[in-house]
Amino acid sequence: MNKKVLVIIPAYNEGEVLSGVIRNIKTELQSSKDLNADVMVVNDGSSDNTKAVAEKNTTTISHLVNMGSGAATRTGLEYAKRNNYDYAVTIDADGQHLASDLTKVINKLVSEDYDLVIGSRLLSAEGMPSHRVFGNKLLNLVTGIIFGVRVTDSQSGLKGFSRKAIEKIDIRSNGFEFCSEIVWRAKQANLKIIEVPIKAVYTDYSLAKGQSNINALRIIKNLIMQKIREV
Amino acid sequence: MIITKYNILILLCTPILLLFILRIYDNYKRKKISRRGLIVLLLFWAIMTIGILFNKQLFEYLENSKLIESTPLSLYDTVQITAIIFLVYISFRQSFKIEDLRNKITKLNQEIALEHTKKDK
Repeated sequence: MNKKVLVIIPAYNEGEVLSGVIRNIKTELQSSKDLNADVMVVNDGSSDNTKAVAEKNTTTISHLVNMGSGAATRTGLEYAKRNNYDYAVTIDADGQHLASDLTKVINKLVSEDYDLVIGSRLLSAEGMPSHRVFGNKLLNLVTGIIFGVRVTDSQSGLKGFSRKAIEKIDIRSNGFEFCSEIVWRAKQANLKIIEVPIKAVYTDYSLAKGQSNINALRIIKNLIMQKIREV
Repeated sequence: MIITKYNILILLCTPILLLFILRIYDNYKRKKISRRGLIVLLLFWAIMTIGILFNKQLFEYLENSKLIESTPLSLYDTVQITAIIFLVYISFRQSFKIEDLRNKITKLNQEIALEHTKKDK
């Protein structure tokens, strides 16, 4: 297979764990010999050593100022578009995703011709703290109500995009609400969407870094504003 | 026409509301807002204009229906209502401007970042 895949890691102040995450991803990708994959970090104006760690380990794009994970993901997808990648996969920088799940998403994209593959932590929510399950289900419900799209994990950071999806999905939100927006834009563009079960690894670090249920309320407010702006 | 406080309200607000409507139409012509945006904003300001033009009848209807128990309109109220309408317009305008600026800054930030990509050695 000669298809080019870009793995995008949007990162904000993840210097502590980033090198380990990049290493795991690269090791996993090297074991899949038929993959022509590159790994890239989008450093979203971090104030810690994220930029230095990223530049030492892989291709890095750095925002001058922090704009939000939505903006970082958009920059990554724009890079994939301009550099003619056939597929792009986004993965969280806090180490909550297993590198093996990344391959699972890529394989689904490549072999089954889907446009958007969502790695769902809630198809089997084993190991996910109950407050996280609640927050995520609430956001899935809101995404369904506002945008008319039903998925089990709208907030997953592990998502795969085909070339068609890279070109057609135009994210406009800068914050965490971009996760729901991606699913919405994919639906608007009539893209083929599928979810694959993945396992999330919750460490003290990833729990401290992840979204709280208070953040979920902010995301809901931003999603409503996004919908209003679309009018 | 007898100058009542209701008429003062009409005289104060109607030109402002008409100006807003003209600006919205102008923004649509300059493709700053979509057709759906034009319809929603025109509908909003048209309802406000109708409310102002028929403010006496509206006040009497609300009072007769026991939906409000308010004293009749004072001169202070007319100024206050005009100010509120003006502030709603200003807040709409500022929010659109901020959104526009935010998009431009994001785009600028992205372009600079993409130009300075550090490739893996």
